[in-house]
Amino acid sequence: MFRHYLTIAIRNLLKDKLYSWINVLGLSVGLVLVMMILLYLQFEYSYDDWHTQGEQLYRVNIRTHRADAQGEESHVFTPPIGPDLQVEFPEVEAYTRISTEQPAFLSHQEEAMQVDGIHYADTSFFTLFDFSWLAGDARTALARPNTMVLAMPLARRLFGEEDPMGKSVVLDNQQQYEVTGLVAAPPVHSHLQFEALLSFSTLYQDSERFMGWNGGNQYITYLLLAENSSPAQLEEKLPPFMWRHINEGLKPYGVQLEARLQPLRDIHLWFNPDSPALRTRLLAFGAIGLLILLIAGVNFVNLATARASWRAKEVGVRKVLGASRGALIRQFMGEAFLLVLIAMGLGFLLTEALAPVYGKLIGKAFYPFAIFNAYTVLALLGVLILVGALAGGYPALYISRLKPVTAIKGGSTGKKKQGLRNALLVVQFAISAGLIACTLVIYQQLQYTRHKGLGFEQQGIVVLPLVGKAVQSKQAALKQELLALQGVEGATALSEAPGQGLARNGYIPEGHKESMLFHVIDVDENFIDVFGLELSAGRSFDPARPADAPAFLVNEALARQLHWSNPVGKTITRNEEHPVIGVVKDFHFASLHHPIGPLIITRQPWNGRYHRLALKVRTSDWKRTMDAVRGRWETILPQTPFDYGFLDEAIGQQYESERRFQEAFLYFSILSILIALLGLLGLVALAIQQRTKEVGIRKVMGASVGSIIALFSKGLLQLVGIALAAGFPLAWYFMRRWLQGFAYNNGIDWWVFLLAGALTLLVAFLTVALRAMGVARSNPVKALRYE
Amino acid sequence: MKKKLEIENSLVISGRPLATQGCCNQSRLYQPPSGEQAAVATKNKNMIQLRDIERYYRNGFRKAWILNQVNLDVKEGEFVTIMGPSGAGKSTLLNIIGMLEEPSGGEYHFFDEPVHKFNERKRSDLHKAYMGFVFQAYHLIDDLTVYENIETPLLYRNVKGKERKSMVAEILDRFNIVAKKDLFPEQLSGGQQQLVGVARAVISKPRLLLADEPTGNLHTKQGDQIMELFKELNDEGVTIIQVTHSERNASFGTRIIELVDGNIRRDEQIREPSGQADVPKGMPNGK
Repeated sequence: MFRHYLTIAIRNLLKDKLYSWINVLGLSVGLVLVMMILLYLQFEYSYDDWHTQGEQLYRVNIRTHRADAQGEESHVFTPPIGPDLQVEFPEVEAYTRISTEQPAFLSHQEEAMQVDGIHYADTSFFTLFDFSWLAGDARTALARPNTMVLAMPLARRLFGEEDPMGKSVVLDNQQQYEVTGLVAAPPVHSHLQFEALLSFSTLYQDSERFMGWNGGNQYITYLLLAENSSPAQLEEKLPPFMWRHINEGLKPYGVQLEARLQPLRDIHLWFNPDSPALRTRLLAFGAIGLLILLIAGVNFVNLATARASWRAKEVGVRKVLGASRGALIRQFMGEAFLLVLIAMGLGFLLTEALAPVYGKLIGKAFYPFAIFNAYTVLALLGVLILVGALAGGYPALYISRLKPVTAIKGGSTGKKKQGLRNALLVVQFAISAGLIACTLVIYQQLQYTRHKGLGFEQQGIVVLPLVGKAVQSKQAALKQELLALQGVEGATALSEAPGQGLARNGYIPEGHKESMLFHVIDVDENFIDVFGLELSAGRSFDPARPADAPAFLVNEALARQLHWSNPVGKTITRNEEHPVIGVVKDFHFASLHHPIGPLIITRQPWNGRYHRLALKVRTSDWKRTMDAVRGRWETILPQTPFDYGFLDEAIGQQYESERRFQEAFLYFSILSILIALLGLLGLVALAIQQRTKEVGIRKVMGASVGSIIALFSKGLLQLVGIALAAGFPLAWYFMRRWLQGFAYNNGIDWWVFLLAGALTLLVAFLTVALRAMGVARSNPVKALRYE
Repeated sequence: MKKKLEIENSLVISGRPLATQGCCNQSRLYQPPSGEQAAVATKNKNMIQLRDIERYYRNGFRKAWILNQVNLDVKEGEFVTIMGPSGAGKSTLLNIIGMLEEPSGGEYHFFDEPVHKFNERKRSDLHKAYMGFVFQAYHLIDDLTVYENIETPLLYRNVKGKERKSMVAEILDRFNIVAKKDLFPEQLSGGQQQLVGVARAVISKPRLLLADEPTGNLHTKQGDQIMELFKELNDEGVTIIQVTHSERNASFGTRIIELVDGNIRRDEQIREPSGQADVPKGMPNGK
């Protein structure tokens, strides 16, 4: 019996090639997308799940409560909290600290390079976390001061084929470090990424470092809790602890800190700065995956039901021959499952083939992931059963119920069934048109972010990072030399480049008792000119006035927040009183996701050293200019490699994940409409098959080609029209929510929907018309000859 | 052809019992009570008893009558021809007898089983156990070869593979279509297709063969061939009810019923049912 069904199924597939291809291809493309999305979701959910003690590891997070503001979250804090927690609470078995990234120059013999991923870390780092060791002892490698552990890629860059163990590396041309360990590069799905780790004990030998409770917010602390101990209970005991160590002292400033614990496994999805955006993306992709599966599944069901009338006669005959309902249901289900299986096999092959391309698109490498694993296989099995049961089930149940006599007579599948098919078609096109509209909105917003004026000059600004004390101390000389070069129109030293967000600090403005958080940028007197900022009140820094040294400029947002209608002359206190001498017009120093915050511009960099030098370069011959800049740099700083970046590129980089999001969205929506069109094509082909005779008769009566195309396309296009009306409000709603993630957004233009609607209608019409053209042009005698 | 059929005929009669286990087990419930088996064997048992059968469609508030108060008894072994003008309800009557359609009212006893009280599943089991159907338009399954088309009823009766093979082989041989067994219906002429249709209808050894204009799409010579075949089957004891317009076809049968406007206008026995009234060997006859 089974073999009998199989032969019949295969013959059916081969007989109606268009139908089979549409069904198999549509579904397998849908499955490819679903699998890719599954892979991506799986990847994001697998972050930090590979540490053996992972269940017991927590990151310490500090929430800052101020009278004037909402709680601020930060996991970067001072060094002593870890050791003190371990001493005072038995449930804290161990702690480890790692500093924030501290870019530096590393050199070994002649080789010198700038390395970003340098952190200080405790010895316990490698006993708490499971990074794979290649050489050295994980427990003691970072015990002594001035030791370092290298990750393999950096070891290769520094040492080549040479064995780095025991060799010494010079940091910023000053400190010597001994390489005591070698680890593999941290896995991609680790929120902890590093190139080199320096022993934490080194920090205690540096007198410039704040290592107490009151300063040096540069360290992230992780705790290993005893098995079976509850983090929630520990959290409850923390307020008295924090009070004793720090909050009591902070009380006069109106600041209180609250310590909380973040489970290691949740950090990537919940507690990182980009976690909300990530979750939105996961949600969006998950939803798209389901929608595409829906579209492909709908194709399946639609074509199967449309064909049901085709096979009604067979069913009738079978019933007369003694087929029970069960046997018929089994037969139709079997055929559906066979088709789904074929589609799945094809989908797997396609996914395997496309995985590398896809990895690039999403910006993640998938190398640790096999497509076949328990999760995907289970998920796909679910899909198989779901689609198979839906696609096979509906026609199976419906056709098998037909009375044999009605069925044999040609089995009217009835108007009602057509209704269901139409409804499903509407769902498909609603989804597709919605996705197209979303793609357009995302594209528009990204164009907007790219071209929106930021309020300052970003074209032709080149930023040179000044890494290390040695380089920073020569900043003034360097600036003078570079300004003398042709093509360099201006130069200014600064602490950070605007455009990607700026650090914040606590200040007490005049008339206030408690400190407030303001963004701050340390610059020199040329900043305003080089960046083309405008002043709305007061004046800029004047090098001729020594009294200007402690003066501040503020932006309009700060004046607004403090309700200062005339800020010039007011003072702001941090360590000492700083007079405000001018107000700059607001400019976007952070990405457009954020509203413009209050900003203080100072001339007093921390420790007296600037970390960047910005040059304004004539764009027409920037290449020659940069060569000259490099020449000067190398004569003044022969030990230090030359590095620079364009500000506009760095700013654009911030929208990289959105750009990828848009790209993925674009592909997804194109594919979804392709699948929907395939379904439409199948339905039209079937309709034409069923109405060939009618077309023949109409042609004999004198119908034109156009009127025949209209005959087939009118109803379908009406459905697509309904689909647009249903899909667009949903797209509008979701896109409005997405746009709320941008403090500055373009809104949604009506023409987006017009364009998306026109596109959808056009491709739908072409699909129908091209197919109908064939039959409309054929000789009617042929259509009528047989019967 | 005729000769061949006769030879095969004797083969069937003398052959081993062809009715299958699956078939008989399934239909056991609807077998006549064992006491009556003797009666069947002795003299023409009443197979079909229709009482006041009616069939109508609701057309707004009015009923459109297809069949009106039809009373009919058919004994086993008869070869009944239903005739009448188009729209008289011939096919509907045949379908009701074949349990493919339900009457709107009236009583239908099949071997004394009250069919009108049965649910669809029971009806279809009864249909499966006793009946074969031949259509005017053949209604072979396009995707199946001749062999597979003939085999299909056996699949639904759970006949084991080996037995199935030999049964199909025998029928192919008897109907002289062995050479065509791997062809698809569209590769056959109308007459050949109907031959396959009849072979498919009788492969499961039905005791009642229903035929709706079996020769309607055939020319006279092919039609006669099918009628000869029917007559032979009837001689073997298969009860046949056919619907036809053709007097010529009717002359092959034993009784003619004329249906006009849903009523029986004429009921005439034209010949004694052939002597073989008892159940032939190889026909399903219960335990």
